[in-house]
Amino acid sequence: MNSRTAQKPKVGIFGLTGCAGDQLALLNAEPELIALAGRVDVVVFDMAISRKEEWQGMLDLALVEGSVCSQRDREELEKIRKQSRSLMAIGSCAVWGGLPAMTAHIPVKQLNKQVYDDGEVFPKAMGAEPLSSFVTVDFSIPGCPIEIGELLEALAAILAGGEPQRIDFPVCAECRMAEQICLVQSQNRVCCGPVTVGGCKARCISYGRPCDGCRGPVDDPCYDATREMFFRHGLAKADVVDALRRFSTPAWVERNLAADFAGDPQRRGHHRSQTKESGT
Amino acid sequence: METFTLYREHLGQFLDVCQEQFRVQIPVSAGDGRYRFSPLAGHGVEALALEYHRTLLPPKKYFLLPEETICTFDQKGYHPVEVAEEPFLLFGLHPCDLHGLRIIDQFFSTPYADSAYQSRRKNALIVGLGCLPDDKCFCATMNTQQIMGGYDLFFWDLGERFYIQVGSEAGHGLIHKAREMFHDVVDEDRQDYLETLYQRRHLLTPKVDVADLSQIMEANPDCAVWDELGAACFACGACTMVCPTCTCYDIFDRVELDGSGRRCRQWDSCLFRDFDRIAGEVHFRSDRSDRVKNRFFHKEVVHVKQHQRSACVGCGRCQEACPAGIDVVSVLSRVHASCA
Ligand code: SF4
Ligand code: SF4
Ligand code: SF4
Ligand code: SF4
Ligand code: SF4
Repeated sequence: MNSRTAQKPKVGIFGLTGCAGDQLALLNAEPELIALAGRVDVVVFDMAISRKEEWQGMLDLALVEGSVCSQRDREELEKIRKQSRSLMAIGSCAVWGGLPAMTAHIPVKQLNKQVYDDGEVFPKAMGAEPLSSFVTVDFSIPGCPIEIGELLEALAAILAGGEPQRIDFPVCAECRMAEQICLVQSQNRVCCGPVTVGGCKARCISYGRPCDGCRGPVDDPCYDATREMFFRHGLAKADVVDALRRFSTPAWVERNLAADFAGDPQRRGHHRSQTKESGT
Repeated sequence: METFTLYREHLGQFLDVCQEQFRVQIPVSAGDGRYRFSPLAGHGVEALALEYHRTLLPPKKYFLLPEETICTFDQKGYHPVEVAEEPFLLFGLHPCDLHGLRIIDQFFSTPYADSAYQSRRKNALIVGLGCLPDDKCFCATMNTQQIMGGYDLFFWDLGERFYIQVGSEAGHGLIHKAREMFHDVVDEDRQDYLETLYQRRHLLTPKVDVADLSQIMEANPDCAVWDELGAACFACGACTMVCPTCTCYDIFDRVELDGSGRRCRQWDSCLFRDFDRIAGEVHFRSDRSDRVKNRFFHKEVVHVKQHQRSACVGCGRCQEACPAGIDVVSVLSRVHASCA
């Protein structure tokens, strides 16, 4: 993909179930989009180009947003995977399950009943899952929504034949670099910073709000130590679990993330193993 | 050595004079009993927090920026980035921070001079400020309560006036830009100054026994203390970000879509899992306890061997910053007690 004289790489941008916020973020980044169009052929863009007919050829890279919430999503994802040399999950729904997976611990039937008072509205609905539950993911850009700069840098690195920069430090580190006062220490608030992967420059804390963990967990999150820390600050377990559950439930509140990583020692694209351990 | 006094009410005027030539940085309150070094220009002299003990980030933030571009690149090659730093003046560094600055000065000058660091450093004037310890200071344990130079001017707060020591030509020059504000030292000033020193040294007693600390740590590297700490620490790296003597950084490229880009460096920490990742996804210290241990070993063993002194200056920042409440004084005393 790194030869500039050869044909431009073909890129498809797809959306499964989600709010389309990541595609929107990309659409809003106008100057960058123009630069991107100079380097690649965007042949599918679910949100921006109405699909007259299905793209049939091979893609060099598929960017996929949204989580898998239905049989249809799953089939579409599998099709995209077959058509693409590389696949990048964009946004926390695609990477971690995101907000739709917040209720992963409640059976879908029961959810249908609670929300629609009818168990049969969406007969093919499934609990939200990240892409990596079904296909191999080569690259991941987390965030709700994504940091557009991070996505473009990753694309640029891939186009240049390199690997995207992998962030592996928690939001706390950026929070300290930005010289913020810790909200756990100063206000006894639940903050997901210690276990959430950085890259947002601790945006929420800089606005006086604790981190909601929208970027999902760091590699090797220190769940026990973090929980201990909250308890020492007198915070209730339910509050802590609620906060952590919001964006990355399937990954690690309902299951044991460590076991997932054991199945993916490379941790490329945060693949997760198919085995569904029950965990902390 | 020259000494002068300055009446408290003239401090603002003096800083204004400094401001004509330097971007003056002062400690100001950040709320919640915390402080930051911030530009005087944005705050005014009323914001100067002479009572501060430690700032959230140490003075190193001015010299080793949290993130900076070290060069740019494009199809034509690499292009160095010139650091065009206007002269600035850091007002109010306590003795521990002067020691900390000296430690990182050494790191960034030998054996190779770091040009970005050096160009910022040589543009900076340093004004020290005497202090009395709080419960987190342990400079007396690390022997960094001693003032051993490294300042252009040093201020001692004697109440209605400051007792000022000149430490360099540049400091001398600063005084002489506003010479009419300063008074020659008389006997009474000298007595008050000595009295202040006397009070200070009686408050400064070592908090832990650190005798043979390096030897004990080295002799017993598998001491159980490290596993206990590894279980409590969540590897957030806050302790290293805020440390005046932690100098680790990562270098990486931020590439643009046209293939040009910036080579950046950003603060890094030996507590981060990625810190020691090498080709083939191999980690030297994949256990958190090994990473915590590394931090203390660097400060107390490796640095001692290389530079004949601990790299901890007892500022208490890591203790204040650690959300897990891991405090270095109790770590050192536990190591001393259980690993020996
Ligand atoms: S816990 Fe939250 S507020 Fe505290 S340092 Fe981490 S990110 Fe910042
Ligand atoms: S601080 Fe947390 S919730 Fe806010 S943007 Fe960053 S990762 Fe997301
Ligand atoms: S280790 Fe802690 S107390 Fe020692 S110099 Fe660093 S921040 Fe200060
Ligand atoms: S190795 Fe660790 S303790 Fe030493 S300077 Fe680097 S971050 Fe600080
Ligand atoms: S600040 Fe505390 S919890 Fe964070 S890395 Fe340092 S010792 Fe561990």
